[in-house]
Order: sequence, then C-alpha cells, then structure tokens
Amino acid sequence: MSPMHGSGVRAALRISRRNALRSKRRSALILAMIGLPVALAVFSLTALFALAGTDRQHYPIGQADAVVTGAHGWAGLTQDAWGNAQDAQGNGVSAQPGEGPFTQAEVTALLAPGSRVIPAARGTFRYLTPQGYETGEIRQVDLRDPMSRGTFRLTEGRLPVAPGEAVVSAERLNRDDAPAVAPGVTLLVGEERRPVRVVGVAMFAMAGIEPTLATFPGSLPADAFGPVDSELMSRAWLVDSPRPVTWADVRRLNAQGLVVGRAVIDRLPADESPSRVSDLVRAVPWVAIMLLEVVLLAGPAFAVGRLRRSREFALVAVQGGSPAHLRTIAIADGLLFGVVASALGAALGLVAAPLATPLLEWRAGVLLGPFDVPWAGVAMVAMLGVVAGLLAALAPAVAASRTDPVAVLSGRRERGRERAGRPVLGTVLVVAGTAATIASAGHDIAWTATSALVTQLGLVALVPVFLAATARLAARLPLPLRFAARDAVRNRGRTAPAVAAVMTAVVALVSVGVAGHSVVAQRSVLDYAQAPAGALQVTGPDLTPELWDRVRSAVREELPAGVPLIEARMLATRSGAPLYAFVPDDASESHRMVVSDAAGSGGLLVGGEDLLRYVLRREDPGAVAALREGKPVVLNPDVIRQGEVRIELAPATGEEAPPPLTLPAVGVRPTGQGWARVVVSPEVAAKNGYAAVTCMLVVDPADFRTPQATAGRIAAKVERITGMAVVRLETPQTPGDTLFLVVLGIAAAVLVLGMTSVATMLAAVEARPDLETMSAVGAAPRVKRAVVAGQALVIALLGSVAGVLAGLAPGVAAAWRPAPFPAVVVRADGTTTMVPADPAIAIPWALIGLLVVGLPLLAALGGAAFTRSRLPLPRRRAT
Amino acid sequence: MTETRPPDRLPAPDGEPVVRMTGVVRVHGEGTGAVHALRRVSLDVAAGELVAVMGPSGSGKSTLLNLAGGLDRPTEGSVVLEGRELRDLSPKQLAELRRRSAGYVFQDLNLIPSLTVAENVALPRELDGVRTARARAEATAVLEEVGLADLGDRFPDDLSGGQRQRAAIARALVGRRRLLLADEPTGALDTRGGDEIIQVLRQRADAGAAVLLVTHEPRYAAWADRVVFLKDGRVVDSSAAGMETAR
Repeated sequence: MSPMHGSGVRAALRISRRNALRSKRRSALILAMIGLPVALAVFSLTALFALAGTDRQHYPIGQADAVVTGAHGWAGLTQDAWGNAQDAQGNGVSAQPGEGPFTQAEVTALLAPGSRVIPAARGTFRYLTPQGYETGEIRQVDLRDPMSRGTFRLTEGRLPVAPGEAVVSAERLNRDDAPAVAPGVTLLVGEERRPVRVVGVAMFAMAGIEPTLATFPGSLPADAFGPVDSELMSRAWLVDSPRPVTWADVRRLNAQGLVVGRAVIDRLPADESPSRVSDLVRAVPWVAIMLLEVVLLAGPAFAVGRLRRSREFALVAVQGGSPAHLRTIAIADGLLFGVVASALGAALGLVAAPLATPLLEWRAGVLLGPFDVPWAGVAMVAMLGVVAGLLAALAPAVAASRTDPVAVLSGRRERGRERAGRPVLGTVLVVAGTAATIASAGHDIAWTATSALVTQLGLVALVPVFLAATARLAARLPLPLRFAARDAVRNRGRTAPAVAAVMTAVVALVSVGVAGHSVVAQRSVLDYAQAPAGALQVTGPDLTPELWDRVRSAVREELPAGVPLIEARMLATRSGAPLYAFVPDDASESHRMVVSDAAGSGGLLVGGEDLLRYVLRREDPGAVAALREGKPVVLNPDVIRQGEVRIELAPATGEEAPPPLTLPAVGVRPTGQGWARVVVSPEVAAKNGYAAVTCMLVVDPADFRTPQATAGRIAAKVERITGMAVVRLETPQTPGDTLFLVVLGIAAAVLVLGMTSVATMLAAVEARPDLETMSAVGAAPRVKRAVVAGQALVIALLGSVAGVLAGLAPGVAAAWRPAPFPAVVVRADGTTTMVPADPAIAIPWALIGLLVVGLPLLAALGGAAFTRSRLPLPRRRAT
Repeated sequence: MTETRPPDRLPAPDGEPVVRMTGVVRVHGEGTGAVHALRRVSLDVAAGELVAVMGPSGSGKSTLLNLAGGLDRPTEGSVVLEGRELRDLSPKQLAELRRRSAGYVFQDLNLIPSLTVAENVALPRELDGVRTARARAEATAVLEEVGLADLGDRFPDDLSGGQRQRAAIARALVGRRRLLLADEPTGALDTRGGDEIIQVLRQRADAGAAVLLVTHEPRYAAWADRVVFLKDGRVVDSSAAGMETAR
C-alpha cells in the first residue's frame, strides 16, 4: 500500500465510522462475529487463570501467617517452600508410634513471642448418614477464626459454633444423594459414632484436599485424625504471627522439628515451570484456526459492505481518490470493526468472568482463586481480533481499489478480475495436510489441528476449482439452479469466500463431532456388561442393615411372587465396617485402571447356593458340595496355590488392616466369564471372625427376566429410600452423547445458515440486473424465489460436502489415540474385566446427514422464504 | 429571472485553454464488437468559458466528459489538461489530477451519504493530504460561494436535490480546480432547481472556471458561451451561444 497522508486516513476512518452507524444491523453482525470469539477467548483465559491460580499448599492457609506441624523427634529436618519435608538422611518424615506431636503450648513457645495458634486437623472418616455409610474427608478447624478467612465461603445455614456441629461442602451437596448430608442431618462419625450435626453449607478453596465436612474443634478427638504427618497436615496449627514468617524463621523452626507452610513474603528461588513456551507454541494452531474462522465469517460481511458502497467508492475515485485511497477506506472498515469489536469483546469477557464466578463456583462446588486479569493474554487476544478484522477486510479492500468508476456510475456491470483458484498450491496443501493428519493420529492433538489447518488452507485455495466443476454439472439442471450455479462461478470472488467460510465451520464441527462421538463410543467400557444379560442388580456400597431391609422389601413388592432374590454379601469387621478383599488374579497388576466399583467387595462374595449358581451360570454339584464343606469356590483355579487361596483385606478408612485370610479352596471354572472371583459361605466368614454385610441383590435372568418397566419402578422406589444404592438392569447400552450431538447440530445450523444467508443476500443483490431481465421477458415471480434458493443451495451444499469430507480425517486422527494400557473395569460383583484398549471410531451419521442434506435444504428454503417475490422494475441507466 | 441573465460576451480564449482535446478517438471493446464512442473529436475549453455539450443518447457526451477529466483515456488523440498530456500519466497521477485540476458533477447521487456536506466537499482536499481543519475551512469558503454556507453540517439526505447539486459543484471546485465537468447536473431536478444550478455554473464560469456541461435541455444550453453538438461520436455543429430564442 502506498503511504497515505494522515488526513486521508482520518477521512477514511470517518467514512467507515459514519457508514457503520448508518447500517446498524450489518455493523452489529460484524461486531458480533469478531467480538464474540474475542469475548469467549478472554473469558476462558480469565476464568482458567483463576482456576489455575490456586496454590500448592498442603493446607489452605487463609489469613494465617503460617501453618505448622511437627513432632518430638523431627528436629533437624529440612523442607522446601511448599512444605515438603525430609529428615537429615533425605527420607520423608512421619511420626513414629509413641512419638507424640507437639502440644499447642509447645508450638506457641517455639514461635515468635506474641504468636497466636489454633489447631487445625484433617483426616478420612467413615460416617453414617440416614442413607447409609459413606467415607469422606473431614477438616476440623474453627472457621469463625479470622485465620480461616479466605479458605471457605458459607453459602447456606450458619457456621459451627460448638463441638458436634459441622458444615458440609457445596461440592458434596451437588451430588445426587445430597439429602444424606444436607443441613439438619446428624451424622455419626467413626467407629465411636460421634454425632455431628450439619448446620450449614460452605464452598472451600482449592488447596490441599477439599473437605466434605468441616467440624468445630472438639467434635472429634485429636487422635482420631491419626499420627502427625507433614504432608497430610493431619494435625497442625494455624499461626497468627506478630511479624511475617521469613525463610530464616522456617529454617530455625525446621531445626526444632516443625514443618512450616506459610504465606510467601520473601523471594524464593524461582521454580517457574519450563512448559510456558511450549504451551504458547501448542496454542498457535488453535489461534490460527480461530483467526481463519473469524476472517472467513466476517469476510463476506465486508464484501457486502463493499458492494453496497461501490457507488461511494466510484465517487471517491472520481474526486481524485487513487486505488490506494480506496483500499485505505475499505481497510479502515476492518480496522474500525476490529478495534471496536475487540475492545467490546475483551470488555465483555472481562466483565463476564467475575460475574460468572458464582456460577462456576456453584458448578464446581469450590471457591475459585482471586481474579487476576492476565493482561498480556487479554491484550494478545484483542490484538488478534484487530488482525482478524483487518484480514477480513483485505480481500474486499483489494476489490474496492479496482473499482471502475465509469462502469459503476453509468450502471454498467463491473467485471472484476476473477482468479480461477490456485489448483496446484491447493492440491499440494491438501495432500500434505491430509498426510500430516494421518501421521498425527495418536500423537499430540495440536499436531492434528495444525495439519488440519494446512488442509483447510489448501481447500480454500481449491474452492474456485470446485465451483467450476459444479457449474459444468449444472448444465442439465432446471433454470433457477443452473442460473445459480453459473452465477456462483461467474462471481467466484464473491462465492468462494462464502463457500470457504461454510466449509471451515463444517470441518471444525465434523472433526469435533467424530472425535467426541468416538470418545463416547470408547467410554462405553463403563457400560461393559456388569452382569449376565437381563439380570437386575441392586448394589450399595455401605448401607445399614435397616436400609437393606427396606430396599429388599421394595424390590420384592415389584417382583412376581416366587421370584428368587439372590443376596450377595461382603466381608466386614465385627462392627459392620466393610472390608475390601484383594483376591489374587492373573491380570498384570501394572496395567490397571479401576473404572467403577459400586459395592467394593473386591470380588469376594458371601452367599449361598443360589449365588453360586448365578455367578457360575450353571448348576454345579461339585461346587455346591465344596461350598457346603466350607471351602471357598474360586472361579479362576490358576490362583490357587497348594490348594489354598490367600485373600488380603483392607478397611475403608485408614485403620490397620486385619491379617490376610488363607483358606483351602476349590477351583471351578464358570460358564462364560463368571460374575465373581470367590464365593464364600457365611459360616466360613463367621468361623474366621468376620461379619458379612449385604452388598448386592440380584434377580437371575434364568429365574425371571425383569421387564424394563419393573426395573424402572424398582429404581424409583430404591431412590426414595437411599440415593447411594444403584439399580441396574443389564441391557445393551447406547452411547449417551445425544446432548453433545444436539449442541453440535445447533452450532452447525447457526453457522451454516448464518453464513449462507449473508452470502446469498450478497448474491441476490448482484443478480438484480439479471432478475430484471428475467422479469422483462416474463418470468413468474416465484422464479426469483427459486433463483435465490438455488444460490443458497449452491453455497451451503458445496461448503458442507467439502467440509464433511475434509473434517473426517482430523476427527478420526483426533479420536485415534490408543490408551497406553488396557482399561480394567471393576464390576459391581467386584470382578475385574479387561477392556481392550483399541480406539473406536464412530461416525455421527445424524450430524453428517444434517450437514449434507438437512442444512443445505433448509438454507434453500430460507432463501426462498425470505425473498420478496416481486421482481424489481428495470431501472433507467445513465447513458 | 432576467436579473440573473448571463452577460453577453464572447469567449476570450487568451492564452492556453484549461483543457485541449485534439483528434480524440475512443473505442469500447475490440474486433467486431467494437463501439466507436468518439471519432476524432477536437475541443478546447478556456477559463471563464461555459461550453454545453448536446446530442442524442449514445452520441458520446459522457465519454467526452470522462476523457476530459482523466476518468477514461482516449484510444487515439491527445487530451491536455492544464498543460499536462493525460496519455502519459499513471492511474495514480490521474487520480492526483482529478484531485487538483478537474471536478465532476453527476446527475444524482453525487454525495457520500455518510459524510456531512462540508466533509463531502473537503474530501478531495483531505485525500490530497491537506490537514483536516484547513480542508474544512476551504470547503466552507467554497460552500459560501455556492450559497450553502449554513448547511455544511447537514447530511446530504437532509438537503433538497438542488442543494445537493450545489454541494457537488462546490466539491468539484474546492482546491482551486479550474475545470468543472457536469454530466446532466439538472437531470434529477425540477425546472426551478435546474435553473438555479445552471446559474451557479454560469457564475463559476464568470468567476474564472472552465465549465463543460452535458445536457439534454436546449434552454440550459442557452446559458453557455458555446454549444457543441455530438452525433455518433462526431462534432456536427459548434455554435457560439446561438440559442438565444430558447431562453
């Protein structure tokens, strides 16, 4: 561009500004197209920044100056800034049995004079709720103390003011079985069943382990929180110091056996993570894709503007505007809209982030960190918005600079130079991009995105070639379609960006759709058979016997008389706390991933002959005899060593594990995969000193196939009794991503129809002289509708088909990520099942059908519906 | 309107004319589809002279105007505007010439609707790099000359057709341009409005501008110092204000 005088630029900006104010709807559209992505990016950036802005403390420090923990005998330890401690030999520190923690008085004495100290403890507890037992994290600290400020926010009820009171976390209340711990409920905590009444709800800051309950000090005795632990901060003190705690203080306290987490006030050796640069590099393809989308979206709108203003450009040219002047005036549009939209978008994003905080916090159930605006990032996003505006205005500006004033002012048709695409460059880019996309499968998703971007740029270059091919095909079509196709080709400069915009949006939607649909198809390992087909299971992790009685009778009520209800139990302590059983198996231990385990039996089921028949899927007299003899029946005989099976047991909470159970066993292979690992009779459990608690009720499909409706009624009844039990009828599952696909479909409809309508409006305006001619030779009014419909159809169809074809490869590549190890599903009966790690590819045909057939037809119908059928009267043209 | 009757004086082409067209040929298209819009037309317009161009549709009137101001280039022949041969100029230089030497007025839609009247008039000056304030001052001065001093801050849509055309004339003259090319400037106006515009053009010519006016209406041609008749791209008659009776 030739250098412009300042006043020329000012005049150009003035024209842009006035024009923007004159055509308010077009301006709003362009502002939205540039501003909304900017707003979205700024919002995500700010919100993510707040989410990531949590510290790495082991315990939330709030307004305290420090949190300390320690024990006699820890003297001489060293620690890092985050409170990770080690002793002089470089081993982790933990209190030895019998090595008492410091008392509050001892801690106060070690600290600076005038320090105030309050106890803070945390641990994992099993507690009884009205709906059964559950295990959760309990934090015991005085939340009313100023030192606790900043670690929580009360959202409902009040704070605990006396021992025996607690607040429950909002996150826990977000779960389905919220009534179990809702305010007003009294929980019985631990083996000693200490009552704790829930008096309020609070959100907790994301630091350390977020608690389920926060009890008032004294609710639970200090030793219930286990031994002193520097990492867990199981028993610690919050310190309010008269002067800041410096690193020198930390070193001094370490020497005396205290580990210190503190508010950082002096500079520490920088340990900035080295991944920042690579993060930026990884963001490049996403930013480029966003930029391309915005440019292609807004480009046609600028093109409409140029067309509407062609007379204005011609007038400026007549008054002595050089091509550079005209280009500047058109580019000024891009600058103006880019700057205004970016500023508005950034402001919107910045305002929305704190406004959305309560919503985000409510959804997450935790407090977000303080809002620090990442100004550098926001400025970068805003700058990208301006660049997108300028780029979008570039092509129309070049066209504007070629305005032929004589042609425009005399009403003659302007014949711009139409480029027939860049077939060679386009083909090279498409081939290279597709090859790179295929090669990227299973690697970092950023590679897939980058190569998809290359393919898209190639396709953009090829669009005029596609258009030419379409026109050749159109020779046999009826007049409106033939006219639309020929018109599209003749005005390639206008049609190609519109088709490219539709295509780019469709590529993004299809690849996200394919990847998402495939992930859901893979994720259906969760729906891996949990029981024989047709079986009805009711599983509950840790319900009380009374609740099981109610559940049992509810299930019985719905089943026909005489249908046996098989009961499976699991081992428990004498007091009724369930024990997890580790039954050996031959699946390699290093490659496992526990996916779901509703009951937590570990595969050891306690029950009678009916259960045995159910898990083996046949009558087996040998197995029945063994069970009667008091021998465990092991379904995988390979794990029996010298006639015995060794089973390790672990309690749900941190109590000491009972000794392993070694029993003479009988191996019986099941028919099919088998639905438990070991079946033990209740007598054997009792003889070895264990209780057995119900963990599962089953209706064997061999006895009765429970209809879906019955299962639904049972589920509803059980739900009213307890939210912790799961009712499941074993039927083939379909991937549950309907909502995801509906959202994609709506986005597709908005984008494709929106872009098509803008481009069609433009085409219809340009085709006006032709329509005048048609009118003059006697075309019926509906011909105009048909022509506009045809113009919409050509753009939408070409864009969608090319986009779908181009979007499949990146979608498949993104979905093709073999898991590093096979998944292991732990079923409701406690048995693990290997699920192969092969990635599944699932094509969302409904979405593709919508894109290829539905939306183009809808676009055509819309084009016809929103066109005034009255044909324009030919206007006089100046001679 | 006898009081605004133009003075009876013959053109005084002392020295070089503002625009001199010699043997100008303009052919649109090529081969069998070629259209000869102008065939060997020669015409001078001097400062202070109002020349009317008349002729039937398609006779080449607008082409003549486009060539005179450098909007278009002749296929053959020479156009010299204020001593510069247009054939030798680049598109950029032609644009510069239009900013500094020639101004156009069309039948309608002359003004950019999103700019105020004064801004429209100042536009060529601003494009030429003149500071906004000064360009505005010059525009105000020219608007005063065409009788629109009070309407500078209005938008074109708020003006009557005649006022709009006067603003367009002001814009064509701003920056001391000496050639005013008017293509049917009265075509979209009623009789009274048309008369006003012709009087303004006459005044500008009397004040020293060279005015080339394309018109259909003999009664407006009567205000001219000279009338040139075009037919099929040729000058068929040229008379010195020979239309007294039509006035």
